[in-house]
Amino acid sequence: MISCYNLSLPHPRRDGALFDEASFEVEAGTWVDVTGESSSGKSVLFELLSLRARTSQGTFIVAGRTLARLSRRKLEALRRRIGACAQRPMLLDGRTVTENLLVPLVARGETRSAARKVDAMLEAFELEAVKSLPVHALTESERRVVAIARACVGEPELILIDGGLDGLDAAWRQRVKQALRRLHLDGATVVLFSREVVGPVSGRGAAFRLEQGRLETLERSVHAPMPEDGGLRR
Amino acid sequence: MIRPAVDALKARRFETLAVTLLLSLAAMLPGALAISGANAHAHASGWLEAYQPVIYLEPEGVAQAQVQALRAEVEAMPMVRTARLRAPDQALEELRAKLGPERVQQLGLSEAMMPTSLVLEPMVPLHGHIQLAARVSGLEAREMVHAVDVPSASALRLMEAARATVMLSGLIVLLLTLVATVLLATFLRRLRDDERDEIALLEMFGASRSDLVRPTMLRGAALGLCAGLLASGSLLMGQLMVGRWAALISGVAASTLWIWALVLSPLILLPVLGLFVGRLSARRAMRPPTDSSLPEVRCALGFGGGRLAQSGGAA
Repeated sequence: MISCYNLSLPHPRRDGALFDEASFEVEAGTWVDVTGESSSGKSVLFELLSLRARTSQGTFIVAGRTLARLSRRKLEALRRRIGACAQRPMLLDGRTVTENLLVPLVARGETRSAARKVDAMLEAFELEAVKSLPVHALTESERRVVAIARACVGEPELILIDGGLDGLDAAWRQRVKQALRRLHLDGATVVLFSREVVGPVSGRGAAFRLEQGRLETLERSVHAPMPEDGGLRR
Repeated sequence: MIRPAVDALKARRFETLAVTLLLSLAAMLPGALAISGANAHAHASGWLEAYQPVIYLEPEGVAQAQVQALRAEVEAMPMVRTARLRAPDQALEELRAKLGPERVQQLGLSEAMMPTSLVLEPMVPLHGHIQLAARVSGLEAREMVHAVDVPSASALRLMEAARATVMLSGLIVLLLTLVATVLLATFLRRLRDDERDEIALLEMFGASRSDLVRPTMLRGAALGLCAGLLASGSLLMGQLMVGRWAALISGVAASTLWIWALVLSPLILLPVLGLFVGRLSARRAMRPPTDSSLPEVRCALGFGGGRLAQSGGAA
C-alpha cells in the first residue's frame, strides 16, 4: 500500500536531519502505528502520505502510484482513496456533524449512497446523538471524533490519523478504537501517528518508531481474528 | 459543495437581489435604447417602403410623345425597375381603393381632376427609394411636370437617427457588459470566499477541479437567468406598449424579427455571461494545479507550516 525509499529531509528548527535515508513499506490491510517524540517528524510524514505536501528528497509510492510523477487528475483520484485526519483537523464549524461527514462523499461524488454511509459512520462512532448539532457546539473530544469519523467515511483504502487517539477522553477512546479496528478488519489500511502504540487486535499489524531521523521497525505481526468483544486492549 | 449551489445566494439574499437588479438594469438600458432605435427604424423604413415616387404631369398641353420620352428617360435611370404610366381613370380607381368610394364621393373628386402620372418602382427597396427620391425631385423644374411626390425629409432623418441610436446602444452594451462582468465576478468571488474552508476540505478529499468550479458557474448562470428574465420581461412589456403607440402614430405596424431578438437577448446572453464569469472567477480563485502546488515539505511545512497545515494539517 505504501512504500517509501530514502526519504531525507533536514530538520526545520535545528541542525541535523528530520529524516535520514528513511525507508519503509506497508502492505495493504495493515494496521500501522508510527510513534515518536514531539517534533520527530510524524506530522510531516502524515502530510506526505495524505498528499498534502510533497518532497523530491526520496521516493513515495502510495497505492501503486509514485507520488512525484502524478498528474493533477491522478492526484485527485488518489486523494479520493485516502481518508486523513490531521492533528488539528479543520471542521466546518457552522455546519452539523452530518454535513461534516458528508465532505469526503461529496468530494468523491457519492451523493446517492451518502446518507446511508454517513448513518453507518455515525453509528460506528456512536455520534448519532450529536449528528444534528453544529460542530461548534461539541466538546473537544467530540470534535476530534467527528474528524476521525470523517476520515473513515466512504470506506477509504487508506486511513491516516495524525495524533492518533490523543486528546480523547477514555470513553471516546474506546469507541474510536473499536470503530477503527472494525474498518481495519474490513480491509482498510490504518496508519496512526501518535506517541503510543495502539495496535490491532487481529489481522496484520506493524509499528514504527521515528527516532533521530530514522524509522525503526518495532513490530510486524499477524494477529488472531478479532474476539467477540471487539478486541479492545484495556 | 455540501449544500446546493443556490443556497449561498439565499444566504446573501440582499446582495443577490441587488446584483440581479443591477445586472438586469445593465441589460435593460442598452436594450431599451436599441429597441427604441429599432422601432423607429422599422417604422420609418416601413413608411418609406410603402411609398412609391410619383411624377405628376401637367393636366394640359403635354403631347403623348413627350410623355413617352419622359417615361423612357426615367426607366433608363439605374435604380428604376419600371415606370408605369397612370391614366386619370386609373388614378381615380386607385384612390377609390385606398380611401373608399364614399370618401372619394364626399371629397367630390372626379376623373377630370386626376392628372396623368408616372409611378416609379425602385430596383432596390428602401435605399432605392431614398436614392430615387433625390434623383427625381429635380424633374419638377421641367415644364411638363406638375409635381414630384418624394418622401418627407423628416422620415429620412428619423431613419438616420434610428441607425445612430442602434449603433450607440451597441457601444453602451459593450461598456455595461464590462461593468456587469466585474460586478458579477466580484459577487461570485465573495460567495466563494465564504466557502473557502469547504473548498479546501473538498480538495483535500480529492474533489476534482470541475466539481469545485461547477457551483460558482451555476450561481453565475442562476443570477444571469433571473436578471435576464427581469430584463427581457421589462423589455417585452415596453416593446408591446411602444409598438402599439408607434403603430397608431405612423399607421404602420412594424414588428421585425430582430426587435424580438433584442427583447429576448438578455434572457439568453445573461445566463451565458453568468456561466462564463462564474467559470473564470472560480478558476482564478483556485490555486494553481495541485500537483505543482503541493507545498515542498522542506521549505513550506516545517512543523505546522504550509497552507493546508495551517488550516487543519500537521502540528
